[in-house]
Amino acid sequence: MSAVVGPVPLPDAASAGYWDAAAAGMLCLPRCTACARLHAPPLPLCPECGSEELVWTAVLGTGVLHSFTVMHREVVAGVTPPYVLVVVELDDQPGLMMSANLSDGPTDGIGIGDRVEVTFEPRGGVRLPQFRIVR
Amino acid sequence: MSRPFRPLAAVTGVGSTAVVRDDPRPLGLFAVEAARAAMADAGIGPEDVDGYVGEPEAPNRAAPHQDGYDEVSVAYAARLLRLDRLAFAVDVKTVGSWVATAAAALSAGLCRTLLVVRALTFTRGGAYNLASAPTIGGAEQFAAPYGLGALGARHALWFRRYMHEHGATREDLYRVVQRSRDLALANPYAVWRDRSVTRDEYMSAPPIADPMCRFDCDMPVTGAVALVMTRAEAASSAPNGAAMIMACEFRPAGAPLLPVGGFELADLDCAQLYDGFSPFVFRWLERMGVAPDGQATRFVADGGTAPDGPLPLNTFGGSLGEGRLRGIGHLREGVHQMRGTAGPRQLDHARTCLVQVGTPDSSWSVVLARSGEAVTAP
Repeated sequence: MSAVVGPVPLPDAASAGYWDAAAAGMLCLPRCTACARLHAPPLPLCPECGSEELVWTAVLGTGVLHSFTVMHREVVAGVTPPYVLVVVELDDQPGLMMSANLSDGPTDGIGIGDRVEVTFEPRGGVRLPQFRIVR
Repeated sequence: MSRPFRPLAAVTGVGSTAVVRDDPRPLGLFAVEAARAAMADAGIGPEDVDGYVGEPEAPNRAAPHQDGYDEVSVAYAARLLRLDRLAFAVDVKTVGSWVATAAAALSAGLCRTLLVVRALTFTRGGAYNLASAPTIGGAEQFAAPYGLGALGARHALWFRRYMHEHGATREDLYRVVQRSRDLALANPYAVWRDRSVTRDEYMSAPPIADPMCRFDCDMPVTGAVALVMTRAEAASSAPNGAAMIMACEFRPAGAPLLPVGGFELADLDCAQLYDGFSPFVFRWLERMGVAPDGQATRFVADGGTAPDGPLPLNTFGGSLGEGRLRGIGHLREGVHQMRGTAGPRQLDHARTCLVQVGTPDSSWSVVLARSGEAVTAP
């Protein structure tokens, strides 16, 4: 059993599908059946059109670095600095952004526009979607 | 101004404690000191106060939330200040909603003379910025597990992208910080009232959330500010003058700041925009329409925000210079500028002021004006 580092997400009715998929090694996001738009992170209704008719949809899990920062102070207990926070624009839809860390692989010399792919970090009873640079 | 505006309310008194890193006194005493100063400034006593708006919440993530120690509720303040005639009293939660709440209560006739009190401390209860729950639900379940939390990480992410798209650099952040710190030298309340920051100090400071360093983050402090507000018609009896509240509107994330209550950019002579993290300044200026997207850095570099520039900004040093009072310091300075009581910081020709309280995700836009001719000019 791996050590828990940092807080463990508490799934709720709107997010359980997301964490269940992640536990199975898949990145799934809610897609609105009314307007066909994906959104992240999961909300109980579509932020674009307000519909509550959402279906969990597996996404590619690839994208580009939209932005990043290296945190040098501890702001969440257990998440030990320095660590890289990233905003990734997923390939599935323009403007579809996810926040995570660069978990493994290189962190030196990274830049906006770098290709990334999803990876999963065991955390408590769930697996946390993270990203790594693809070179 | 292109048409007459009717003021919503007036600020007839303002009081403040010094803004300090820490102080062992109970926070309740800070609230009392600021409130007494505001009442004295307005020429009134506690027996004249029939309305109260507070924002008690301690922003420290590890706050003990103890009334009078790190928070001040209306019940606590009313007891210590002997506010025995309150007809209207609320504690608000949304940052910066004091003005709207107070103006609404005054104009609805629920009270006539109202005290606004904001006392806060970041230094009680442990590390102010450390979230320590072992499990996390709600919206934070997608942020906290990644260490996405306090200390401006979101704003560092925003500015990194801004650098990429528009060619901005840390020099641009330094210009904001340096101007704030220089202006704070003329603010007797400011935590940084006796020391500016050199370019070398700034450039060699270790990063916190790169490209931001500690100078890009306002200092967590302890302090209190209080205002006395009345209906607009009662403003003329204020012994030290009044600032008129002309407009007050909420602004969600991304919404243009202007116009607000009919006020356009051309109607505004100066601005006090919340600068908890230095990149906020560029975001506000672009949302005001002062500069096109990506060009606010140039506006600042060209002196656009200097006291003698086209839009004097944060003339008291902002929270980067004064400390993190979460916007009520900005409101206090706007009141002083409009009343002509800003001392060495006083602008000569400023008749209107935009005050922005809150973060770019959730804020209030308040327009203040000098009393008298400015508010009814055609």
